[in-house]
Amino acid sequence: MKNKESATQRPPVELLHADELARLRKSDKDPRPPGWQLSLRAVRRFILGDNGKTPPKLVVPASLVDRAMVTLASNRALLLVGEPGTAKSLLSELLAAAISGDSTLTIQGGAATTEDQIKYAWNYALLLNEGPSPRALVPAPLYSGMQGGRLVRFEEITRCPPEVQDSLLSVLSERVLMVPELAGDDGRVFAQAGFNLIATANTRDRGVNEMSSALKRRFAFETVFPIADLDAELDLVRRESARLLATSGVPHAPPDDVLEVLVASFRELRNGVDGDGGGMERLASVLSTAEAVSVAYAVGLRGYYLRGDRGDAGDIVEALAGTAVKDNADDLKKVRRYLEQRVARREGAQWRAFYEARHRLPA
Amino acid sequence: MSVEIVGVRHYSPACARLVAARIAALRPRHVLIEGPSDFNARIDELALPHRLPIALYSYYASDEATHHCYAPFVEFSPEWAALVAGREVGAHVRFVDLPYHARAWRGESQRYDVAAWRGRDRYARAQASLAARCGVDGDDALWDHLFERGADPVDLQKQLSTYFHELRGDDAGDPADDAREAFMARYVAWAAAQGCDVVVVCGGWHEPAIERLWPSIGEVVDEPSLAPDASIARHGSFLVPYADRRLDALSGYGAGMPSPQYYRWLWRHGAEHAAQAAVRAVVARLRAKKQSVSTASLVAAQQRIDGLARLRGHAAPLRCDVLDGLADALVDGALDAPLPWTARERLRGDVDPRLREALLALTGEHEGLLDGATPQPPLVADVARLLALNDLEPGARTREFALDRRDTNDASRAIVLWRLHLLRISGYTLDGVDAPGAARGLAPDLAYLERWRVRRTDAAVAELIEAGAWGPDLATAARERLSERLAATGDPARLADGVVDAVRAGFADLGTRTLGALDAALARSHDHGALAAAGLRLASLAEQGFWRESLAAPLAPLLTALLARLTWLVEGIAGAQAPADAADIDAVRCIERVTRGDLPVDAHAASAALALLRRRSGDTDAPPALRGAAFGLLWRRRAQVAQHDVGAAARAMPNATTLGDFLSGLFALAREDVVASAELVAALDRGFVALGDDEFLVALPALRQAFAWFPPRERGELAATVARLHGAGAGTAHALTARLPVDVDAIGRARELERDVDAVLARYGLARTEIGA
Repeated sequence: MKNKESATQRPPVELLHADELARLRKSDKDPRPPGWQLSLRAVRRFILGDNGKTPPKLVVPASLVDRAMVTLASNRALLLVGEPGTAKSLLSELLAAAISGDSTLTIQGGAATTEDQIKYAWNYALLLNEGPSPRALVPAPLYSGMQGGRLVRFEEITRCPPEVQDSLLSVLSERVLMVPELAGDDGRVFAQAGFNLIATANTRDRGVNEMSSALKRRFAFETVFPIADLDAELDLVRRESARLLATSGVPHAPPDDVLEVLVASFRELRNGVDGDGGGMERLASVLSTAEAVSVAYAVGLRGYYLRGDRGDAGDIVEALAGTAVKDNADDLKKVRRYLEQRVARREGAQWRAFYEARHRLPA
Repeated sequence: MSVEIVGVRHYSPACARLVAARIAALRPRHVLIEGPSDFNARIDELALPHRLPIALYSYYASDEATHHCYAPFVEFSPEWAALVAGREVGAHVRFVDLPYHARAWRGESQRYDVAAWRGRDRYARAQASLAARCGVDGDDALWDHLFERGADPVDLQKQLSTYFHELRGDDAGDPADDAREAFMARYVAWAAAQGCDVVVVCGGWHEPAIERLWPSIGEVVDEPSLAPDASIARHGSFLVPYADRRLDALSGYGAGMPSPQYYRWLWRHGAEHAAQAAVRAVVARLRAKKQSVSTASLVAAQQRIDGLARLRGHAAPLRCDVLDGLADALVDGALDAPLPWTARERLRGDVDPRLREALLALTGEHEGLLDGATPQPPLVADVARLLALNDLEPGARTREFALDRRDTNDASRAIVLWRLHLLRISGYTLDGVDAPGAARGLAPDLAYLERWRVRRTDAAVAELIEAGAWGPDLATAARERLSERLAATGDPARLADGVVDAVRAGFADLGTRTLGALDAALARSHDHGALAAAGLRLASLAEQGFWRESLAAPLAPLLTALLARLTWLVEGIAGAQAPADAADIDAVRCIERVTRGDLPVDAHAASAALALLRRRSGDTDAPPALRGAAFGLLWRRRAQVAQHDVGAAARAMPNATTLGDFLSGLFALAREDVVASAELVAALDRGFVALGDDEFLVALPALRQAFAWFPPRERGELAATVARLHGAGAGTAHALTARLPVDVDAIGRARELERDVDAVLARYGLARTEIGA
């Protein structure tokens, strides 16, 4: 088991934090909703951290986690919406791992998602041989989740065609999955206590506008926002970029003042408000914390392998053009304008370096 | 003898209950309350049968400006509870804080400034770590979670004391804190010296400091007092009616409280009832606004409210539980802004309208009313004095005035009327301004004759009392109101109107507050044409001044801000093929006017604007007219652009139409230089000669528009230069620009043709309506 885990590129949360979850289960004295492996308070401690005893797993407002858990303990499903890179999927993974001990019952939504990837499919060899039987049925995540009383995750639900989305309607309200091919009790799967659905949707994609209002009513919406606090975001970028750089053999993270320039400029371009409260235009591209981490990572790599230093704010300009702004010419203009007119006035060596490097933006 | 100091949070029902209980139990001889001590002589005014909420309004005027603040009272303010309970037990009730006019307070615009609180580093850190430990978001939710759960008073007092000591720690506070705490401690020492029981009610932040300070002060014989500093011209306090919506922190009162109505329920009936009433109020308000809130979603929301309360360990749901729970029923899509009650800031513009309504349902609609015997605000007296002084008193019959701004006496009368007009006091009507007999070139903003009508109205009395909220005297009140109006507009034209109004009302020096408001308004403006028009108007006002009053210095900060915003917007204008737009050219003209050097604008902003024009002049993405104008300005200033560069840029224009647009911009900015440069004219002439006939016809409208910038005399000079180039000999300028002889029939045929073309365009829906019509 240990060997297997260490070879896994990205072990699921319940394996990664198996010890911690076991400890929480052991010390958990509060009442648990039926079918839950932990009480609500223990789940909160797992996700948000617990005074140093458990490290926090992500930066979100406590009340958001409260609302999400209370919703999941009720008969309503949870829909996490927000811009890309706001850690919606991570939150849903953490919730599923803590509540059901299993975050792998996951449906990946997409244009090609079909009902049998959600509910169940058939083993066609057995089906032809024996006809429809429980043995020939291949359960998909929803079937398994209902039968086992576990949380099911539905990633990017709005990328599915509306008719596929609507196949969830009866499951979410009646909490029963019909298998018309099978007779008797096998033809109905009643959801066991502990079953519920966490869906995520991306506001940049198609949004939730095309979702039917019948389905919308069955979800409680929670919007996940970029990290509100500068220091918290800076902290996260520093920690995560250092971790990534270490895996690439770079011994140190970019200097703090470089990261400060990076995170502050990301926040200004993201919110469309500069540090002094002046108005600017926000970028159409996504400048999430996750993008900031990958830019910081790129800055560290460039510095270490190209010049042998720790990276400077000038590198941000190129990384910004490459990873964040991508091919949006309009955004490129906005970045140039930001550099020329806002950054020009800033004091501090790294802000100057950031400004001086403006010619490195692609023309 | 005992001294008990009860630290409170203003507007906390739990603290109000605690204070009332302690005073009833101890029956002290002295009740000392944090509040302006210069009001003590009139403290009985608070005992009149008012209807709450009311506020104690304090102000002082120094040489530079007038400052004011409010200290509102609601029935569940601990301070109010102390006043009531103290009177009931027959104690001496006193305010013991520094008077508002005390030097240490100077510059603090409101009594409890949230920004200052936030600046208290230790406070912020302690609050944040407590909130994280309790798993709640925001100071309000944290407070409710800790103290509004209906704990036993004895426990509550201990918990509060621990909490406040933890928050304050050994923080010395800022100088204002120091001075206030020393003064309050002195008061405590004075009361204690009389050997009887004392209860002190003060903000929790000050409790630890006063507790530490007072025993070390020694015996104080005389009641502390503080005379106003010599630099203070006027000062005072009076009671004003207040309202729930003004109390609501979210509607702008810095250290106010959120949702007064909710806390009123909490105070009167307890948490259980308050939660139910809150749900009812929110649903009723939304349904009244024709928003559907289904029973099913309400059931789910109620379930969530109860679940959240249990999870957070609240015996009955508190405000954050109710709102968090209701969010489920109210939100059915992605939000643009976080749930507004999780952060303590003004209600942002992008908050979901349903959530905004939900919060407003908890604000309440109580309006305070003062008892008839209460003294009136000083504004009323100030206005009466000014009207008498200037012989402007309204009568039953309409009085008409024609006031000439060039006359000193008339100007000061006009200023009074303008200020009343800005306060929207009825009965003072401006009929119009004009400038009879003045030169045609006089800017409309300088029209010097104002016609006013003045008449007494019933409404004016009430309006004046209300306007007292804006300031104790006419000047302050009018200025305050104007800056609020300016802050609310994002339209540059209205902004310029506002500045002209300010100048006419004698506020040429706009003051930092108004400038701040204008800065914010400018940041919302996205129309560079309108901004440039406003800029040109204000620049001309700044250059010329307003009847003996110089405006260059007062308007400079505003023009600097405007220049910076314009620079920002011009950077974004795109469209390599865009036809000449007057807005683009105006923007450059405005930059030219403001940076010409005779206005004291910020040098950095000016050089940034010129750097921008240099960038845009060479930017092939920019509209040709903008590039032409930028070239024109730079050439004229001889700023790294020579006549040779202009010629090269003109030759590089991809076709004849863009050339015309380019020239439009160029001529608008550098007309005289073009006329003077025979070389450039020759280069342009070569360009035109090279055009084919068809090309020339296509280019003609743009070219005509460009050459329209030249007045007839200069057009004549140009024509003469061109004639020489083609060896046609010299005619007089007049002859060269005279109309060509065309016979009447030709004109008639042209008209007919145009009419036919218009008809065809109209038939296919290609013409704008005014052409068809």
